[in-house]
Amino acid sequence: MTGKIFRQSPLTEATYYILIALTEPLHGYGIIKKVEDMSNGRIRLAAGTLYGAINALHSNKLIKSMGEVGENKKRKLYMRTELGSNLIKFEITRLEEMAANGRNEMVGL
Amino acid sequence: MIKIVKKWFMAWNDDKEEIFLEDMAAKGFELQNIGYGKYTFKEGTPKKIKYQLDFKGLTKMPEQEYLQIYEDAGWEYIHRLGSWYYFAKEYDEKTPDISIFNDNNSRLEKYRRLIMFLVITGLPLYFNFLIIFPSLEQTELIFPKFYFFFRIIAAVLMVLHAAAMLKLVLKIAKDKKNIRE
Repeated sequence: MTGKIFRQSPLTEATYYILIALTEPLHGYGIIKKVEDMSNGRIRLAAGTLYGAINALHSNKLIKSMGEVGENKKRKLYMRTELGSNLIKFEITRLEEMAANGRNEMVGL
Repeated sequence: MIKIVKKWFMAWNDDKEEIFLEDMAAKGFELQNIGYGKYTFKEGTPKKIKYQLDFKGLTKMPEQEYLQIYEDAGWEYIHRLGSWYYFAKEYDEKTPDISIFNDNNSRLEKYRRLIMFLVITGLPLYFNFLIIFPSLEQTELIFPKFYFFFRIIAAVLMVLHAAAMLKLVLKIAKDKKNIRE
């Protein structure tokens, strides 16, 4: 299982944020709003990027479908799987290493 | 006033198609409908409208969920040509570079979906050329026989298909120089 996760890394910024937002069941619009809040308005997920990421995350079993909501049940809810959580833990370690190394090398600059 | 423009849309010219529609809107012609090779515009006041084309491709997501994501993000769904979806959004000076993609990776993903679609739809075409046509009797291929016409149509389609594949692969390769994710 872990070997498979390494191959998904590194995630793009958009995919990373979508995956961490899905701790709770959310639909597309919910994801856009939550990511915008978390990043203090810096990241506004674009529709095509969100569509591509949901597809890829879903077919790689990193997120699962949690049923539909709203009128005509057009909005589908998604939530992160255990596999998705393992990938996020791996990404956090990697990102912390990147930031720490960057800070070390940039001392005094 | 309705204005009709006749032109063909080639799969590798999606970015030119977006600019064409934006330019028309800036001249006061807002896209109403698209038929095969026929664009219908309504004349009105000039507007700043960004058009974006997405290729949905062979994915599991139902169309209504797909369109809902775009609608939620503020895009108006205009029309569908096969698996090409046309979206529009008005913009102002503050937001001139709105797009349906945040990064290069997801933008290129669209072309990968398109290539995958072309590979699958192209199989019967190449099967005809490599297996069926060579096995036919020569007398089947002469003038008014069915296969005479069929082979010409198949040849035109195959040239277009091969051109599309080549242009798309080059488009993706060209983008490799871009270090932005």
